[in-house]
Amino acid sequence: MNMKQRVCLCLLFGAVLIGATFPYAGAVPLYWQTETERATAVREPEGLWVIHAELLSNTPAHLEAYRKANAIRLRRLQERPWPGPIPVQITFRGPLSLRAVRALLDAGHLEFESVAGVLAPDFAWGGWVDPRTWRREDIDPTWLARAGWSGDPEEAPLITHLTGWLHQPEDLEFWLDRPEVELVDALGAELEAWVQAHAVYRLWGGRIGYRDRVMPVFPWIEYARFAGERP
Amino acid sequence: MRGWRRFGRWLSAHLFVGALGISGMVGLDMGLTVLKRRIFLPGPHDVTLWLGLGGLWLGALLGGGQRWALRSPEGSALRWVFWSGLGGALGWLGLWGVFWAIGPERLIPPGTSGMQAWAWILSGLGLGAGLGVGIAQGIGLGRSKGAMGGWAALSGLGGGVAGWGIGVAMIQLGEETLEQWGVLSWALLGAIGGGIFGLLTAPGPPSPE
Repeated sequence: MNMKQRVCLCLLFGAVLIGATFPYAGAVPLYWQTETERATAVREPEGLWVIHAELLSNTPAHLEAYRKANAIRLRRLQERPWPGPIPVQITFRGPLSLRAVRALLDAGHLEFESVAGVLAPDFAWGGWVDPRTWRREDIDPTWLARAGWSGDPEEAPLITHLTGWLHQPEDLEFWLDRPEVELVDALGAELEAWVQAHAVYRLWGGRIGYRDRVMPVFPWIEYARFAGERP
Repeated sequence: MRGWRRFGRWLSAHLFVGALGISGMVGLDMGLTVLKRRIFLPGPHDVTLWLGLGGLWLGALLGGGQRWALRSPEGSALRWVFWSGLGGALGWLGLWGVFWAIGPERLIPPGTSGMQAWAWILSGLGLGAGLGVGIAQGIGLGRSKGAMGGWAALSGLGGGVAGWGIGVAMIQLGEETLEQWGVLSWALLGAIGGGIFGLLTAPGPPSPE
C-alpha cells in the first residue's frame, strides 16, 4: 500500500470513528431563531436532548408578536392531525389560588409537570410537586407575604404558571376556553418537531419529549407584565 | 509473518508510549505546579512551558518507541529520538500560538463546556504533535519531500483521531473515575490514544527509495 492510499484509509477510519462517537463528545448545539424567540437544543453525551428557549426581549411589542406567532401555532395544531402528547406552558391572566388551580387540574385536561408563581420582578417560586397533593402547611409563608395575603392560604393568589402535557385536541380546547388563561404556550411542541426533523437528530438519535419526561424550558413571558417596574 | 511481527511491535510500542507518555504529561503538570510554588517563574508561562516540555517528552518517547519497533539500521537512534522530540515540542508550541491567534472561542463550538471541550482540545493537540513529529522525522531522515509530506499527513491525522479517542474515552470514564483511578486512568487513556495512533500509522514511515 502506498502512502496516498494509507492517508486515504486513515481519513476514512478517522471519519468513521469521529462520526460514530461524535454524540458522546457533545455535539454542536442546534440553534433556532425567529423574530420573537430563540432556542438551543443540545444533545448531552448520554443521549438526552435538552431544549432551552427564551424571548429576544421583554418589550410589549415583542410580547405581542410572540402571542401572534403562538396563535398561529395553536391554529395549526387544531387544524392538523393531533401530533401526540404535546408539552405546553399555561400562563394565567393573574395569580390563581391553590384551590382554583386544583379545580382546573381535577378536570383532567393536563398531565401535570410543574407549577410556578411569578409574583414580582424579583420574586418567583416553582416546583414539580402537584398542587393537588399540597397541604396547607406546604405553602411557604414568604409567598403569602409577597402576595400581601393574610387570609386562608389556600385562597392566596400565588400560582401564575403550569406546565404539562396535553394528550388530545379536547385538552387544548379546554384550556383555550378558560377565561383565567392568558396564554397556552405551544412553542415546546414546535421545538420538539424541529429537533426531530433535524439531520443531527436523524443521524445520531437520542431521547426527547414526552416519553422521557423532558420538558423544553419555556420563555418566562410573565416577566413582561413587570417590564416597567424592574428592580 | 515478518510483516505481522513488525505490525505487532509497532502497535505494542505505541500502546506503551501512549500509556507512559500521557501519565508523564500529568506528572509533568504536577511537577511544574510544585516548581512554581518553590521558585518565581515570571509571566503567564504555565501552559506554554508545559506544552513545550510535554511535547519534547512525548515526541522523544514516540521516536524511541518507533525506532525500537522499526529496528531500522538507517540513521542513528539518537538522531531519530532528537528529531521526534523537537517535532513534538514545536508542534505543540506552534499549535498553541495558532490557537491564541485565532481565539479559543472561535475554535471550540459554542455551548461546549467542561469535559466536552476536551475532545476538541485533545484532538487538536494530537494533530499538532503528530504533524510536528511527522515533519521532523521526515527532515531527520532526509527523505524526499513527497514521502515526507505523506508521512507527516498520516502522522498528523493519526494524532488528531487519537486525541479525539482519548477525549471521548475521558468523557465516558467521567471526572469521578478519573480522580479515583489516578495515574492508572491516564495510563489507560494514553494506551487508547497510542493504540489508535499506532493502528493508523502502521507499519511506520516509508522505506527509503
